[in-house]
Amino acid sequence: MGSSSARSFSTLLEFTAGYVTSVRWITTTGKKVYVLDMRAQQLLRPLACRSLATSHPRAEIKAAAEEEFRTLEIGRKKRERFTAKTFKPATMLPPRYKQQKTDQDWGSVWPAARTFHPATVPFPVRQGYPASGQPTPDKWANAELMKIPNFLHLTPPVIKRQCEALKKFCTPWPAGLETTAKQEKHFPVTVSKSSYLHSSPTIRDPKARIVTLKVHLRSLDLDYHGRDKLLRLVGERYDADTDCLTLVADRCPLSQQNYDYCQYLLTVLYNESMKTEPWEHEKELVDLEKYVWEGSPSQAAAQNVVTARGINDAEELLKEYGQVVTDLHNEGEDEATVLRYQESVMKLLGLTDPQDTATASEPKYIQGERGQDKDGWVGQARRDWVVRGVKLWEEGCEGQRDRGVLQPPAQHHDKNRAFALLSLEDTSRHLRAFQKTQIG
Amino acid sequence: MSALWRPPLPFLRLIAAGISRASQHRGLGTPAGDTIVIPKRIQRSPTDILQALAGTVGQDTTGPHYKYSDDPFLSPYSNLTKRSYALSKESGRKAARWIREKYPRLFSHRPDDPLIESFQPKQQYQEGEQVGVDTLVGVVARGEVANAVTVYHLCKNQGVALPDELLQDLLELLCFYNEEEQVDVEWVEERWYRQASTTTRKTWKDNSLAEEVFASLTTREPAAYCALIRGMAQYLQVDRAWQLYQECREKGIPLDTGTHNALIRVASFLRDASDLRWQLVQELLCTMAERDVQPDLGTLNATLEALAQVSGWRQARDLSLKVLMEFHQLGIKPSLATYYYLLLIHCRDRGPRSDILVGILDQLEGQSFTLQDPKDTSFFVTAMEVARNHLKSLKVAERVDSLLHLGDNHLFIGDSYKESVYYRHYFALSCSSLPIDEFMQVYDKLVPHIYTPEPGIMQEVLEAVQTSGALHYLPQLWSDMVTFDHSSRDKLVGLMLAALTHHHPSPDNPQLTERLVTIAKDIWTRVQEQDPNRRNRVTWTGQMLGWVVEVVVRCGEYQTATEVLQEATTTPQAVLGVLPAPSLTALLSAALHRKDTDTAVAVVLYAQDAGHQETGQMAQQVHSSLPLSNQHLAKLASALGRDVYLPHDTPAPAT
Repeated sequence: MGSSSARSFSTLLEFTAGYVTSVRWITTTGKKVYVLDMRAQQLLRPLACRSLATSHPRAEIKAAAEEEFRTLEIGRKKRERFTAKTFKPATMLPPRYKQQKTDQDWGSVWPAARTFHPATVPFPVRQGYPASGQPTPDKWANAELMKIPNFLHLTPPVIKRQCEALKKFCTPWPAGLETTAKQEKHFPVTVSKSSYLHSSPTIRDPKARIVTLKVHLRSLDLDYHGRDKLLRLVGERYDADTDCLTLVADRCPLSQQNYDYCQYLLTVLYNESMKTEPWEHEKELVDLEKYVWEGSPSQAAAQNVVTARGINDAEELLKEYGQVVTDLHNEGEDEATVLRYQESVMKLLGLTDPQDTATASEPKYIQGERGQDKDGWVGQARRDWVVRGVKLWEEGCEGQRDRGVLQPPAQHHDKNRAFALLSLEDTSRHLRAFQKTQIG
Repeated sequence: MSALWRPPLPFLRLIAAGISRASQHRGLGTPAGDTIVIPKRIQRSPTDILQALAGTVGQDTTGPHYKYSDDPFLSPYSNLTKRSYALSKESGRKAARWIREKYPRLFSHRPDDPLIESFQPKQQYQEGEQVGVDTLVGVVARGEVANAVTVYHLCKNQGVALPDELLQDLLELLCFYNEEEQVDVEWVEERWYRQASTTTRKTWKDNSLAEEVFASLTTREPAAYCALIRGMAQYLQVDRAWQLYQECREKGIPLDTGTHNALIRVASFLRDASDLRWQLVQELLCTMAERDVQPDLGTLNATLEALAQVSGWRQARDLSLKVLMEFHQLGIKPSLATYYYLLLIHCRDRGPRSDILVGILDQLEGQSFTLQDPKDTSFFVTAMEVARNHLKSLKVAERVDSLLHLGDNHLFIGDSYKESVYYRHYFALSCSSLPIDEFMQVYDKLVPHIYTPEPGIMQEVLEAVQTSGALHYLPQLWSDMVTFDHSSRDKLVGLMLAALTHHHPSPDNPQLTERLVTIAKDIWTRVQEQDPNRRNRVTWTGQMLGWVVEVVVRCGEYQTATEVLQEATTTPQAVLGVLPAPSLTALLSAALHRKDTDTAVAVVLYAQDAGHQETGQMAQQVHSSLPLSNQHLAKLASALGRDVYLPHDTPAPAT
């Protein structure tokens, strides 16, 4: 509609004015207009037209009637005073720790894990970072206390009580399995797996499929070859320190399948180890699992020395030397093996230090000035010395005699200490001099 | 590795299984001389551990029930809040359930594995849906009554042939529930707060689906008759149940024990006179014996229930004991419901006093029970009622209470209504039998988390406190009354005020005086500030205002007393009756003491309006003790007129 209909309405009003006192109009859009007093409406015509153009006429008329005695407002309109609704404090009882007796059963008050609540916990606990000049925040509305997990549900009496309650589900420990040794003897295999319980609708957890089987190699009935072969087969799954073989299976979706697979693996490993394949006889020196002295260059060199020195009963000497060299290779170089090697070499070569006879046989840790650690540079220096010494002898020491002589420092009574304090270069020179004096 | 693979040499499995045969096998050496016997695992159900741990937790009386939040702001105290909090919480769950049922397609995320069927929306069957025999089997097995009815009709429309076994199952379902869907087991609170229906009228649906299914059976097995008779008897369609029973007798159809029990239970609806009813029960029992139908606990309870319905009959008591003895000889152990019926028969309100409860307690003490009969839950509440109303013995009540709190017996408390009735009896009995200090210990233990006293019980407590003069409990009682919504009850507020007037302040008890006068002032402000639109609110009576005035004046809160007087003077229509003369006298003497002429004159004027005889005396007192201004004198004179003699030196009252 809009202005055109308004215009038509006003022309109609003009047309009918003076002829009728009361007219009922139906406009083009079908809205009903009640015009009561046409003369009066003449005066209000602009208003009536506007009303038609804008909104529902009846509402407009009513509004006009209400606005008839509008007061003139000068200045800003006064805002009505807004009064906030007064809230009555909620009726509640005092915190319950005030009703708690000192001999109450705390396990019933706090039966399960829950967030800290100051009204229930009766003791005055404080936690959190204090504001400057303030004490540590107390328990009321203390988020720090609520954040941390508390163990108020697991007090010692409660644990005791719960253990008592669970005892009826436990069977007695079987007789004959009192010690770890007995347990290992009767049950050499340990199988472990984990179950997971989440508070969720699903009971599945992928980690539950993993099965670990542990067995001590000493429990397995293996010969030398079998053990060697097993160790070669399992690789890193064997821990030499604990003598424990660990098999972990997680390739199948179910733990039962993985368990079966672990058993299968152990069975196969054992049986394969006990077998000797034809190609195993093709083992060469580099394939050996450990150092064997018999037939080694070391043996030949020692024999040479023995022959050169013309010792008659060299059997024992050689045997001891051979054992020591074997240990040095197989057990690795450490304080004990190196010292034993030193002793053995000196014995073999017939070197004796009169000042040293008492102390030389027993291994000693070197307390150097610069290092406390036996595997520090001192140990390294010592090892270096030994290696050089061996080399010297194996190359033949005849040609070394013309070298310059360096007397050992007189103040160093302890030979170990003396070597420890010398630099590497000094060590070797000292050694040579020492040898020279002895051999010469 | 395929999942079907099996290891060829599972020799280690034996070890894992705990059998020490390792030595016999190649591989694991170390011969074991002695055999190790590993004990068998103790069998337990999935919840046994949880139950054992829960058994270590005792009752905590200082905190709310675990279904509420343990927080002073959020714990409910009054019966109304307890109910609404619990139901609101469940209502939230119901809303969630409703959304799930209404829009099942929104819930496509299914993390549950294995599938949890109760987490899935319930299947709704519409018209025209394809259904089969399996559908009906599933619906019947899950006990969905409404769905069963729909699916049955769908099956019939689609011409699906239903086997007789399935129809029998359906018939049993319909008869048991009378074709009405039950409240879900999951709505614990709704079931807890629901009013137990005690209707004694016929609710069986005549010519309903159950009867239709019964008629559609090709071969009517005895089980079908049993189901229908039981259903009719349970929902009190007794005449037709009896007809069917007669039909069975004629045709020689054997009926089972449960059906006979159901008929015995409704025997009193079939005959009028007590002896005739018992005769019918006897007939039924004899029939059972003739047909070699073994009676069970249900028979015992049904027989006693039939006797309880004629408990006014002289022989009922003797017969009940005989019945009990006979069933005892049959080796049938009574359940709590049996004892419940015994109590109903022997401990009647107008009957002679019977000590049967003591005997029952002697027998039951130290026992834990399992639910065997729906009426088992009525025993404790009835026993407590008997202890209070019939025996009036706190000792017996305490024995009942200790039996209730033994082990899991508290589960037999029934529902919220029975629980509150039980504690109401226990509480009232303690209140009337114990000295006030001991009673208050019981009060502290039970109130407010286990039991919230109803107004009637609170009234008894207040009266007991007033009688024993232990006014130091009043502050605690008043704060409890406020939290229990009792502060808007005329009677209780009046009682509290009356109790307060018993206090006489002395220098020994200034703290108590202060606390008691705080109560009086709190009552005054609370009643004055109460919402005028509230339906049940306290209306001041003259007596109550008198008590307020008396208490506050005596305890030195003079200002409040003048407020009260002003209220009574300005809005006399809000006060029923008038302030009694003693209160006015007390106020007047306080006013005279403080030389408060305005109040003194106001008291005299009020007394005159109220028509107290002491007015003249009061006026003279005022006149003689205080210098009165002309205005005051004029007021007095205009009010008192010539009725009161005033000394000569006063201006003559205007005539």
